[in-house]
Amino acid sequence: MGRWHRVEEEILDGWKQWTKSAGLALLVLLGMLAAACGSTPENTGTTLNRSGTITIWHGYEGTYLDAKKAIYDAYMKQYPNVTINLVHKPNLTDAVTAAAGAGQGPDIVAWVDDQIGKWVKLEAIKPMDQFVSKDYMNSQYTPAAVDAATFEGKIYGMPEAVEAITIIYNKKLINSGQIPKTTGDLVSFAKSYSQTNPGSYGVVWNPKDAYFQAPWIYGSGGFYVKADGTVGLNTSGTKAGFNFVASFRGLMPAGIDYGIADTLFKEGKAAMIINGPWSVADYVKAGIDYGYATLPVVTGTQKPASPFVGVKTLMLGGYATNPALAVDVMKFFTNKDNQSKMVLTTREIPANKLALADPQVQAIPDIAGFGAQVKNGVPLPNTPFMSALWDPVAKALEAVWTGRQSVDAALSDAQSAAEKNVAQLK
Amino acid sequence: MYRVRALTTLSYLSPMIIGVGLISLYPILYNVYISVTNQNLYHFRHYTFVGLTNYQSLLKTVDGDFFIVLLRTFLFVAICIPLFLGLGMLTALALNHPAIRFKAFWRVALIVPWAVPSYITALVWKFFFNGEFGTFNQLYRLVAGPHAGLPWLSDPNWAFASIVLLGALQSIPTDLYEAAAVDGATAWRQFWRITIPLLRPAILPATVLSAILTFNTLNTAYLITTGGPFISAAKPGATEFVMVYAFREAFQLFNFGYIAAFAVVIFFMLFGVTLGSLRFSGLVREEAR
Repeated sequence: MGRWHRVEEEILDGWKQWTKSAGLALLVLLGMLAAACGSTPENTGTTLNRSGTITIWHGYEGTYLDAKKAIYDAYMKQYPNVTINLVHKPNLTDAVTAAAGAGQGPDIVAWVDDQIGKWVKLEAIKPMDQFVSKDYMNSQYTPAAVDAATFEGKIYGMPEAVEAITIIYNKKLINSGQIPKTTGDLVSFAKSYSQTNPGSYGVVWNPKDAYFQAPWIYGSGGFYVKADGTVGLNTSGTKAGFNFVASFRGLMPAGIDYGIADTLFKEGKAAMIINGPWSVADYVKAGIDYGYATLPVVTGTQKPASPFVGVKTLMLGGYATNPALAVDVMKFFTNKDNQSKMVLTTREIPANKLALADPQVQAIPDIAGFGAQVKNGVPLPNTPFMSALWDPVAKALEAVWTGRQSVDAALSDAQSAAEKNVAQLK
Repeated sequence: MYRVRALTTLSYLSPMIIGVGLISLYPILYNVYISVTNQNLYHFRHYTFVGLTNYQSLLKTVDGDFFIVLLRTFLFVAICIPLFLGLGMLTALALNHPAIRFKAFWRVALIVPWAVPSYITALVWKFFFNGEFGTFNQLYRLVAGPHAGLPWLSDPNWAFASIVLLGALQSIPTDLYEAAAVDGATAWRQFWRITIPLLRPAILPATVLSAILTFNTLNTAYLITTGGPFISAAKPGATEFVMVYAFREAFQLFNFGYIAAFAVVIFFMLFGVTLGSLRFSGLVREEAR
């Protein structure tokens, strides 16, 4: 026993000494880290020099990726000293936030403009007015797209494509004359279609997500949140939108989500789907002969259903070490020639107005189809307060969809939850 | 002969100590530091020291939600642990039984799941559990008729049980298999008198570690149910465990200071429970002897 005590004591003594020095080392380390965080990064890369590496974080998938990669490859071929790293991030928004916290991040973030307000506050992206003029922006892109890339008067990126959800229908199952023109007709169409085609559905979409319900809520005169933080979930318009979604209980599979809706349409088990441009390339692959129709007019208000319009944007990373080069890559990517060629494959609506005016582009039915829907849309809110809404709205939709709460009760709970969240953000 | 210089001991240990210091200790200290600042969406890079404000508001806003989430998480752990211990012991002992053939194959088969990212397993299970199209309900319909279906993930109680099952399956510690290899004893008395006492040093730390890991479950619950099913926007979902709750607060509302304070409180809670259970099991005393 005594022997062991001696050893223990010695180890203990050593430990005490060691912890003292280790503690000191840790303090020094912390100090160095704090210093590194506090100092402003060296101001390099403000003049254009086409050499170096540009890292782009993106969410491009499937057929999209190839068409976009081709443009970046062309840039690298033209300027062999530049390397462009395309990094696919499955949870891009979380990854950008986490990286910004550590004072890191890519040179370019390719994502939808609704994150801009939040990312500006987090310093995950930075203004690029130094490298591009407002005149250039206005000469190249549609006005809505320029607005989307601008926050509090500063330019944060270059717009790539505009997107909104619309009705996509299977031409083998229904013809364009059968597409319902009002929300009331949409419900009765879904009923009769399931009766005549057991196991199939008239229309499918994801009924548990705030983004996909925006057409009904904004078309009914409701809203989620305003720029000043006012929450609109308990308004009569939002209730009307929720009631419409709830009327599809039993007309879509109970466990439906985005993936199931998508699969049903690909397998020909749904006549229509409400989805966005990102899905189309895969429908082509699945061999679906599809057409477009605009979302119906809301019966109650006689106003067209209004989807959120998002603008895919290449944003300048807050920690981009070579901003001049990054902006040059953005310019190249979003120029008329590259966008005209790209959308022939991806069938997106280009934000570049010169490319959009190209007759070859106008001849693409997908672009005409989504373009018609975008006109009825409302801008995807880019206020940071929108972050406070996604979750409560999704929960309320689920509670209503599963029948656990009435629309009124669900929205009253969601209103207070969202207000609590907004208060935390203020 | 038995004397070892402390410095020698420490130098042998130093790679581990430095590793643990950088990977575990530093983040913990950093978290404590963030918990006394006002870091949030509007003060993300330029935050200031605010003292114990976050702890105060934590105590003030601690309402029913927080306790529901906490109790549910403890319940989750309390059910998972005996389940995986039972399952784990059973398979471990079976593997060491002389009558079992192709042992190498079974061992590899049991280890493979640890090599698969939980992100992937979670999505596969999400499909298995799907109400209309999932594998389980398709099989169930073969016996129960074409319109039958079990609400694996759509009913709060079922969803909780489904996630418990996954949690238990995923947290079986591999140590059990190694430990069981020590002894292939089979008879009932041998099992209780020899096998269990021999396995005890392996079982106890494994249990404590797994309990903590299970308490901190985020992946499985978030990827399969996102914490739901939800019965209201104002109430936590049926599988909204502590870490899912924290994840929402931190990454949707960007209240980093607040959530860091939350983490510190959880840390002390787990620390207390762990210490208590170790005392209770007598492990600390035994090891110190």
